[in-house]
Amino acid sequence: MTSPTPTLYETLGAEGGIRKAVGDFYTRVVADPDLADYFDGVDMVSLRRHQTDMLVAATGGPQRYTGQDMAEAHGGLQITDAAFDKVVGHLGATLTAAGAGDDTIGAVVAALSPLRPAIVSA
Amino acid sequence: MADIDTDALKSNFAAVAAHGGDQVALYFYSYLFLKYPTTREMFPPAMTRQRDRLVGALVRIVTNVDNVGELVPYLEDLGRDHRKFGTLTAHYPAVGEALIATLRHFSGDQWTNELQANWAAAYGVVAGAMSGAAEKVDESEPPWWDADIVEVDLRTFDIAVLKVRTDTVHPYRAGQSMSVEPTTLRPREWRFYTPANAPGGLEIELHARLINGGPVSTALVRGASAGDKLRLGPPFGRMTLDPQSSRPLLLIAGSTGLAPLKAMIDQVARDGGRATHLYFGARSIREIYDRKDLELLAERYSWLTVVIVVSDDIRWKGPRGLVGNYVADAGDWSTHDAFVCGSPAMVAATVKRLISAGMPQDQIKFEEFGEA
Repeated sequence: MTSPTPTLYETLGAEGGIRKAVGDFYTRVVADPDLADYFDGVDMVSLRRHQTDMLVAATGGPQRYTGQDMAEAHGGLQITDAAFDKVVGHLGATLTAAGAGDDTIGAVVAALSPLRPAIVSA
Repeated sequence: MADIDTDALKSNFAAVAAHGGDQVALYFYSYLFLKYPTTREMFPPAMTRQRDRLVGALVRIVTNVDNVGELVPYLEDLGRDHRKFGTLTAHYPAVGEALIATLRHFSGDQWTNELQANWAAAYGVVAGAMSGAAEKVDESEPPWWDADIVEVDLRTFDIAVLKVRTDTVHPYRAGQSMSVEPTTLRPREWRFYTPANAPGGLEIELHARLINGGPVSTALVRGASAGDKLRLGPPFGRMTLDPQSSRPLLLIAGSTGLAPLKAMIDQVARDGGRATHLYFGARSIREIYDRKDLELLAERYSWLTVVIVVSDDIRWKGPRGLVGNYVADAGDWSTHDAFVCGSPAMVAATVKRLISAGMPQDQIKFEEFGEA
């Protein structure tokens, strides 16, 4: 018997799992004093929805994301390497809490690491 | 490395590196900081140069994986140097896991259990050499030496000679380097510099050349003034005088590669003097940034000859050409110990010329300063 390798979308628990993980992730991020300023005045409900749609699309789920690309969305925010890496750390904690295994973590790192040059601008 | 298939490691590393060093380093650090967020504090705020350094160190290790005589001393220096970051033996498994995850990701279908076992064994040797050297000095030496800048003398628009004073004596030997952090101006940024005087006292002379975009060299050449604090890492490198040898010395410097060779002259003077030829190569007269000191030394020590060779300045009335070519044509050096320090291109060209002029390879030691 063979079963197709599950997509990252399925591994993360499809839309429900991703929405829950995104909620957990932003709770950690905005609680971090080094990052809170970046989210000052940001509509978090809308940000969570956008992020969920983007991750759903990026991990192999339904293609619904119509937002900006990475460079557009983060341009002008003066994001530093240090801030990017703190976010990466919170993402890791979120994934670990959600029970993600090493393969999932490897796949997330693969999706994430090429984004840094488009996001870090300071 | 016994029982490790080093050819398999080399060809796998070449395939991984073909994806681009920066992509590989981005993956590595994302993995490390995602799984082990607390390790981030050991790294500088901006990571671009750090990624280049990781790739540079990996290339150096993999290239020398069959050459344990070269590799192990380098790893020991590196491990001892890492104490200043707060690196502990307990951190090495996290780095090994991130490294293997990275190699595996970029290997794709080529990844096998054998490769994984080979890399794990090789990383075990690397981590063992580094952490072992660090543990060996844990009781006997601090992770860094505190120092104050006493004087900054801007000699050209891009080269400064600094006098710094350490709180306690730094245990380097003439010719060795140390990493330097401009603690006041650019904390957590480090770059290697080499003392230009013999060890033993509290005062150290450093020659700093401005590197485009380099935070440490910019701080030292453009920003530093008396009273600024520095931290100095432990001694690094193997370009030192051989205590068993009494052969005459041939010293060949390009730009701030002069510093370690000047330290050797200082050391030789303290040891009673010995026939020494120093050749200093520069492109233009302006680049002869330490001329007054060189003339003073030549005047003071009867055993020392100083020759300045200029390649691209028609106003220069002395010897002209590339310093390596000039030296090789100037005499028979086969009975000398040679030391060469300068840019990677200058060092490569000079060593090649000396060898083809008949100088035994094992009598030549060299060190190049990084351009990035």
